[in-house]
Amino acid sequence: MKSSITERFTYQWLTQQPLHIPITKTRLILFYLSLNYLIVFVDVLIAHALNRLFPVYEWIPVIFSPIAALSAILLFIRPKPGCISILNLFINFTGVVIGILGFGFHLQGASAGNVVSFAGLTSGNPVFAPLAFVALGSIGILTTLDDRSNSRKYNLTRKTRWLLLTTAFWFFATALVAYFDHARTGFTNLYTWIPLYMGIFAAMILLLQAYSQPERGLSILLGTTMILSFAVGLLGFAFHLSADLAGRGSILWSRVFYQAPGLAPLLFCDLGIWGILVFLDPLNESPLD
Amino acid sequence: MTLKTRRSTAINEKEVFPVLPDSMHQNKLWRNLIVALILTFAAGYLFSVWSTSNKVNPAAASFAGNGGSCLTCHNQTTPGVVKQYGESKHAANKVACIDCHRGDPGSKLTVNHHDNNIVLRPTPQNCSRCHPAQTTQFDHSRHSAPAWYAQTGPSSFTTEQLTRYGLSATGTYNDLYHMEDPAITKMGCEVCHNIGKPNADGSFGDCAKCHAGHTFSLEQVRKPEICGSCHLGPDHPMKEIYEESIHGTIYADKGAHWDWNAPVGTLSSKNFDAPTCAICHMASFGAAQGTHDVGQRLSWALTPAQAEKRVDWETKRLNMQTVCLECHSQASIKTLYDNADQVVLKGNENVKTAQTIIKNLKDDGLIPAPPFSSSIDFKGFEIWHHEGRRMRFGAFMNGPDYVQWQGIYEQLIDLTELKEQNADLRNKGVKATIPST
Repeated sequence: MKSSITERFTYQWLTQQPLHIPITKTRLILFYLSLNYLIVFVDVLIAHALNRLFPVYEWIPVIFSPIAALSAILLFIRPKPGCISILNLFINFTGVVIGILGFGFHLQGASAGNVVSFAGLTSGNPVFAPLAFVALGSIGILTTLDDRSNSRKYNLTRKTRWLLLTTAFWFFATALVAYFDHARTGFTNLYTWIPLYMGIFAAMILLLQAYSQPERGLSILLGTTMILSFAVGLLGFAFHLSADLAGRGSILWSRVFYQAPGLAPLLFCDLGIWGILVFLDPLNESPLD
Repeated sequence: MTLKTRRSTAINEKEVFPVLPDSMHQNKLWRNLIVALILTFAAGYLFSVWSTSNKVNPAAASFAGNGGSCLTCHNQTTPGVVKQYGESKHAANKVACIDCHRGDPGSKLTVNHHDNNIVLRPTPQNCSRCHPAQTTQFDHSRHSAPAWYAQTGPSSFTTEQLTRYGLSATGTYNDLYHMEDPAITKMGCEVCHNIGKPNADGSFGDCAKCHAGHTFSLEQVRKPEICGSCHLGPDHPMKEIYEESIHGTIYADKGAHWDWNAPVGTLSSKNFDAPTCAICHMASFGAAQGTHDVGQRLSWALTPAQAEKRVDWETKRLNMQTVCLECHSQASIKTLYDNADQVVLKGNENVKTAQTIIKNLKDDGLIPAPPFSSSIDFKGFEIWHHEGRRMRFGAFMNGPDYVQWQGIYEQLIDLTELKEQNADLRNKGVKATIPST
């Protein structure tokens, strides 16, 4: 892993001065990656536990997530090339495969017979949600990329550009999850369109940033977009809780996950943080620590 | 994480980070922003068109909330059920499979299904968890236990149940039901009469008889076809009478354009030009309150041999007339009811005459005493059960052909023949023997 001590990041617009963060960007990402795997573990455990983890392959993401979190945290503690790094690569590659398989299983679960209809895609199975494993696995794999200066393009390291693209993909997948979740309501409330627009817009900003020289205006645009995404996530969380608990006279906590999925909007908060993290681009390369 | 600035790297920064004029910075900002906005709104528009073209509405198209596990197997084993449920209002409102199929531990109906306590066919007790008013109304109706009693009599009821449903403990079972083989009746009588079947959980009835399949469609229960699946044929041709009536004619003509899925409480002559079975007998329509007790608007009990006014019949008649008033004048409604009452009373006289003749023949030993043991028994049965009821229903439902040619005319023919047979038997004076079957 060649990613190095970073002294100057693209978020100089925050301070108008170079920033020093006493931790490498890769380690920062590994730490947040492990947190994400743990959050996904809780989310999937709740969702699949409601099905009594039936069929048996619903255990796969539940078992895999903590292992992946452990792998990421090990590499965070010991960010050196070697066994742990290779193991991390293998595990995250497995994560990508699990995400694709999960997408297939969810798609199958939402279909009637062999027909995948629009109605099927609005099913309780969040068809696009397993793509989070593809995104997390991809980020885990990308952490092994070099941040060499000769890999720069648009004055961004190869790692940063791929991370921007991966996060853009994840934003787009999340927008699709929100779209199909809200489509079942017929979008009778106009604000249910917001997450779709937010997700696509954020994906576009990240995508375009991957092909743009980083500079102050664009940093502000990206940072603002991510903060907006964070706010949308918080608002969505409040709306979903309200949608679950309002007017029923009693609180059934399983409903929080059973109906409008309570944790789902928080993904926009998570992605907002991811967007900011992956854009932390070390403009000054230093030797390996 | 702590942040601190380090000015010493400012020079290095310029080496790797080209300094661009402000105008170029702004150009890039606006370029990215505008491109992102255009692509976002273009994609948003396409998604909007997609959802609109699929006509997803709050009352349709979702398997929401049922979790994946039921669907994982059932979209392979029972894809039709999954499809129906997916299009249902239940699914749109995130009512999960288990919400209806949940079984109470220890209940006779509960079976273990992949570690879930479920009931295979939910009873009104299951439905009552969310629809208590409707299931209570249904429980009070003739669609409930009385529908089952009509074929079995008191034999399949406990004393407590007979009391609860106001059913006679001394009533006899339906002779035809017991004469026909169970292999026949379970595919005949019971298919319709199980709308009031006894369930192992103590409840009576089957909501799914009307709310058929897994669609739970308002349209389905508001259209006459579902009622016509039982209320048809020679003994209670309500479906055919409706089709003959002006109401049915208007339905056939304009029904395709009516708002069948309009929310409960919004139905009136403004969105329905004519009533259907459900609208007259059950729906909230105009000023009429909705009910799942199908007897709440019926002033006569028209099915017994001797039709009789129901308890509190004046109120029930007013209930029905509230529906009629959406389109008809008070005077015309009164005229219809007065005329129909006369038809019922006249039919009662004929039935009574026929039954008196048959009773006397049996008492005198001129025909066998057991029920349905001679052709005269069948003739007497049809004078009441078929022709007699047809003319009554036809009178109240605006079906003149069922009052006239399918009703009183057929009844008079049979009554005349019965009288001739009575005279013939009495002239011969031969005691009857029971024919072997």
